[in-house]
Amino acid sequence: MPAAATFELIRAYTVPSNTNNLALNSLSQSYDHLLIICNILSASPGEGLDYYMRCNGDVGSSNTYVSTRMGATPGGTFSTVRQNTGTTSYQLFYSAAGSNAGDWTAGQIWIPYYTNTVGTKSILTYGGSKAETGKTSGNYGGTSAITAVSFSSDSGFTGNAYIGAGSIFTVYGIKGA
Amino acid sequence: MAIKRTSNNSVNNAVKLSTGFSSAAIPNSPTIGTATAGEESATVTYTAATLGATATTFTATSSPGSITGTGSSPITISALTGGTSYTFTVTATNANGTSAASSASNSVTPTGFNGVPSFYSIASYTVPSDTGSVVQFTSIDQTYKDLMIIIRAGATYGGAGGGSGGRFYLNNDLTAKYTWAYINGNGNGSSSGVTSGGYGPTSNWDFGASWASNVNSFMSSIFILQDYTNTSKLKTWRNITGLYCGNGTNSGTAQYSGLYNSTSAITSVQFHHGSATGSDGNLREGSQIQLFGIKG
Repeated sequence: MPAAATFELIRAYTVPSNTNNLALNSLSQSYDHLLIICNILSASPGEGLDYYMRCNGDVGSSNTYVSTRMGATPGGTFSTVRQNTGTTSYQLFYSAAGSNAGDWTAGQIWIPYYTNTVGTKSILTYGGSKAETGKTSGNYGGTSAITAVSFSSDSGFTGNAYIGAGSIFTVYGIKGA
Repeated sequence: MAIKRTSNNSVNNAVKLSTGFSSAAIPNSPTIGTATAGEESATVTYTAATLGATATTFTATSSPGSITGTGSSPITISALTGGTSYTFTVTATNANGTSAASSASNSVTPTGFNGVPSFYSIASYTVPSDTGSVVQFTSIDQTYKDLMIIIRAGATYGGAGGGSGGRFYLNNDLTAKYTWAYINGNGNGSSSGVTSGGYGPTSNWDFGASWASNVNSFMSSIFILQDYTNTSKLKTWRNITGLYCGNGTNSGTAQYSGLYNSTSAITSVQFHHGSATGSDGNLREGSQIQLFGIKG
């Protein structure tokens, strides 16, 4: 039996106005893996931004979100590692110090087996801006299937609206045999 | 032929031109045929003039856009915009110049590019119990260009003080043909070190950071095995990996790339944890591996 094509677009979203809490809800549960490709426009007037993701709106408890990020900046030291064991969100990319409004950060976020209810969820990302490239991996501690993801440039989703209008988030579903 | 019985110079010239003996004339215009829409393209038919100088090239030109295609009838015009209405004219060219354009064709509207499905699921496997050892996919379909493998795996090894990484090898080949390089960041804290390096040749590949000492640890990894059926080149591989150890301690992130020093097509892939025989720990019950094929 021929194999089936299993890589499908399930959501495409362009941010209509600056925000600090962008939610993609009611994600299809028909796939095994999620791939989110994002291109985020900074609306910050002049500072590097860390971007964060929250799963299922879960603000969590200790170690709900654990991420390890290694990054490299041009002309700088080889790399640094920053580990975040936050309770409220998962740390994704960094746009680097000195980034200004109008700078873009691009990245990919993989969530393998996002509908699996047996264990917690592993997350793999890589991306960055013109000023830093990085890779992050870690874990979301919830065991429920992931039905929603949300994004912010602030770990508490309470800061300024620095995810700029025109930012693009595209979600693909991948299904195995 | 009646035409040869006249002494009219112009007719004689026409005969000469039609047989290619004159070198001074350009071809007559072709007669336009029918345009047919395609996927971001169109084809247009024409009929070459039966009299006049011989043409060496026929060119179809779009309106709007002046996008051209050359060849014999039917000519294909590519790189058109789907949803835009086009007409076409055809010219004939030889060494002396280009004819006047034919009359315009009928109007056609190409469709947008529909794309070609290129990502396929090949196989999935869930480890049924902790007692399993090497997980392998065999008789892998050879109709794709690249393989993608997505893994979420745990380890049964819980020994204190350390562990070993996830590993894999190809074609049941445990000879020293595998080399790789990596960058790896791990540790617990606001800033910890990054290591990089390379190994090889060895009998299998490391594809994940150490699973350390926690049976609750697991890792995910996304692999690409490139051009896996090509028997004229060595095989390359890359992956991104993340490791979670139940808390922040010793969790890490890594990126690998490597080479399998063989030109054989990849027909099987084997995964395990620890040594090649899985003696220091097996893939944990519930570990999942999926294999995808990507067409070029």
